[in-house]
Amino acid sequence: MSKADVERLAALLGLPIEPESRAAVAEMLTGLLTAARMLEEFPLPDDAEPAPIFRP
Amino acid sequence: MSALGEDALALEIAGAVASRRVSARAVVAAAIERIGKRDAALNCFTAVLRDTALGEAERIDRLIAAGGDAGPLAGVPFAVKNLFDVAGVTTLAGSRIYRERPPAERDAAAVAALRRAGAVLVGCLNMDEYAFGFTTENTHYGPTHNPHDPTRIAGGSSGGSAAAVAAGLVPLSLGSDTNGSIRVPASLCGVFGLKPTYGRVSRAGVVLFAGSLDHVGPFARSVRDLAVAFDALQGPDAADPVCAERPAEPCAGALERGIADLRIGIADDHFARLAEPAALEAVGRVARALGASRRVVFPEAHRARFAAMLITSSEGAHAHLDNLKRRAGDFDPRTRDRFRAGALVPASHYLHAQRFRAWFKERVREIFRDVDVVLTPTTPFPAPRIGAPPTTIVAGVEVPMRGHLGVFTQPWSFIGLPAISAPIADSGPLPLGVQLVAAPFMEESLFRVVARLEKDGVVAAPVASARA
Repeated sequence: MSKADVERLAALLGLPIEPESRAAVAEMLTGLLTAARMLEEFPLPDDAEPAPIFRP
Repeated sequence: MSALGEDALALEIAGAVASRRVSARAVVAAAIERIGKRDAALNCFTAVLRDTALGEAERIDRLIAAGGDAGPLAGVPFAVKNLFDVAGVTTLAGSRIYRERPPAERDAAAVAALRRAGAVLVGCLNMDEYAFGFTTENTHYGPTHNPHDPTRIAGGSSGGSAAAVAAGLVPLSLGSDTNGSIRVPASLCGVFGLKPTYGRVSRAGVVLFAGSLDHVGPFARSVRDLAVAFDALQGPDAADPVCAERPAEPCAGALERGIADLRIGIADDHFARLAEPAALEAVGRVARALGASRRVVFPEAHRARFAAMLITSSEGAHAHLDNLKRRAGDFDPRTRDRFRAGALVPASHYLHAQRFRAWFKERVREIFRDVDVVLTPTTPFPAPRIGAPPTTIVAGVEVPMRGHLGVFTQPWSFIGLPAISAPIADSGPLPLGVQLVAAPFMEESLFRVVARLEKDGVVAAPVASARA
């Protein structure tokens, strides 16, 4: 995750991030994406639905 | 110390006030005086409600003088993390941005519940901005200092709530817990802290951090005080969409029931690694006192923590996205870039974390069919210094100093299980907590075990000034 990646992703969301903060955000996002990768290495059964339940 | 000094417990105060041995006004005035003398050094409070508190105390005294019942917490001073709405006070949630908001029109449900029980609100307490942190090193309002060693953090995000009770400024407080924000500061400050089952206590009137993980709960210096406060707080509330419809199940009457029928285990694997020896030894002391030796493994607990991080970051960022776009410069630099990173997490990662949550909940539910209460360290080490470096070495591994504080609390709040952090007695110069966890809505089991530990002197929460 580079500063340029952060700039592009943030633009998609309309989120301005000043250049001097992009490295810090990139480092933190890298940590979150590593957590996501560690999580997704574990196979979930197809019937595992997201935890929050909507009751009309 | 007299029975109504800084070391007076909530129920000692309530008993003395109800029997008119002391007035609620005198108790509340003494608490406000203590705050005035000591809080400049501790920085627990962001607001002290002197006039309304004294007025409320006088109302309680009049009620009792007229023969009325002022409630189980009559005249007990309490304070709340400043993300609870308090009528007439602006709810800061640790931020500069919310300082511009008008005062709250009514009390949060939990604040109102304690007031109905006779407790008197004396102020609002410091926290990490928007509850995103484990340290209460708040840039806008300053760090809260640990009463056991003011060079150290109080923990967070409910740092002011834990420190105010530890210092004897108030005997009771409220905080919130998304990943450990009640249990971590309770451990580092040496007080009892309860994170109830998700949905057990209403969050109406509380600024949410990550709504699918947010809980509120009490801090106290005795198990009975904690139970009486919890009993006043629990119960259904239509104003909180996740509050359980289940009726209240009071716990204070069960404290003497004993633990003969409870199966107690020691969490192994994830919960026995990456902690300092003192934290693991504290669990060992509690286990020996309870005669517990069975070790229990919760599969994929480390991944539960990763999933909790993803959900917290995504939901927290979404809650503040508009302000992140418009006025990022007004955020605490300690939280701003973490919120921004959370905003950039793809939705598929968030949803996968929520699916993992459902899977993990079922696995843990199966384990709790064979065990009633599980022991773990609350935190992997005692309070770090304020402004400590970003990483530390634990068991030969470099870990984030601040984020690692939640390593043992996050897997439980992730699936909403009730948990108490209880301070180990005679822990040395700094406090440390042991965490007790039970199946959903089984707070009573936790209270019975912690009551036994307190009675046997294994856990205790003396006021900080009495330790030295």
